[in-house]
Amino acid sequence: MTDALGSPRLKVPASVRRGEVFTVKSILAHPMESGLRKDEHGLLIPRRIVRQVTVSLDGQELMRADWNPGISANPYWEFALKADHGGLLVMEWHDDDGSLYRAEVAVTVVP
Amino acid sequence: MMTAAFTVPKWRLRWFLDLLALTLWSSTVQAAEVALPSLPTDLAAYRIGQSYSGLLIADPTTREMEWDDVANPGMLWVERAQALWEQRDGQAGKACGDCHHAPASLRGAATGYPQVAADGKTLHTLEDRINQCRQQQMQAAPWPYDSDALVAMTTLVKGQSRGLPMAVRIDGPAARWFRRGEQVYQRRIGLMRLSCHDCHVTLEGASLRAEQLSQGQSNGFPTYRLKWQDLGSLQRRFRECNSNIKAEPLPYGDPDYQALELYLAWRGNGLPIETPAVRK
Repeated sequence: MTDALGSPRLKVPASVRRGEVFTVKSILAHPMESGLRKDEHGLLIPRRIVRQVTVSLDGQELMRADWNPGISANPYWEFALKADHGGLLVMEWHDDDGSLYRAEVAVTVVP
Repeated sequence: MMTAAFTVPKWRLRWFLDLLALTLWSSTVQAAEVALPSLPTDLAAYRIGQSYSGLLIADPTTREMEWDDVANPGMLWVERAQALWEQRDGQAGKACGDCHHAPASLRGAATGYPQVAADGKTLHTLEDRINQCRQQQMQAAPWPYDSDALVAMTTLVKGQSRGLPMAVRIDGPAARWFRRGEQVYQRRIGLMRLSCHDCHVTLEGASLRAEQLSQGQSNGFPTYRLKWQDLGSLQRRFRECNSNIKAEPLPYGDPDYQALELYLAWRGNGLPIETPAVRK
């Protein structure tokens, strides 16, 4: 799928209780080319990875992660989150080449 | 009797359950952007008589990956094929969706592939059938065999039959192909003089270094292999298997590979379609 980048998917439960720990799941179509592999002519395939991922809820940054070449293609990432209030959960993948992939999903918090 | 007053009539219970199922179904469809019919999570469903899916000997985390439509990377191809589905191509200016409407209308179609084409001679895999549609109905160029687009469209079409039992026919005009497939399966090839049968029947269940030899069932193809970090066709897997045993891989679409696809599908008749499966 190296020629079809982007199209990230981000998923949270339909609604969560205030203070409940829930799982956020995400996946991005991306080659995550390490820059260490060689093609059939013995030439290095240039590196192309997602170097940084940021997550924010309702405009407030929650975390920032640095990714490395060891992460597989089409990276799936899930993490636990606890929210006191709802809002728009935004996840952004920053590509080596400057591209930005963005996915957003509404988090609904019920008391 | 008193108790009779509290007994709910069977039809009413049935009606209530149907309504409940419909409500749950519509809410899941709205939640997910791309959706295929769901897979059974009861492992017993993956064993039919003597046959069992490779899913049973897969790592539990791999199984979870296959069953979760967000974690399953194959769904990225399904999403891509859904865009291709609506895209007009070729001289006729048609898209898949113009004739077939929603992809869901093809539920059940893939269970009978490979099958003999209308000419009574050629054996068509699902990939061939999609390309035939492209050439005849859309008047578009066929997609190369292991191209991203063809693998994606095959996954979208076969995925509509997820959970349905494989049911290929080996009688009539298919019998000739079936016998050829059986011969290919038994034939010892390559420097190691191994046949498909040696590993996947005689030694099935034994260890190959850290791996357990499977029955080599094809019900989950196209499959996302974590080793490939890619979704690949069954014939790509044949080519890999061939080079593993130090045999010369055949070109895509070779009649021997076509026949072998039919033989494998017959071996797995009754197993649920898992496309897109996830394997190590």
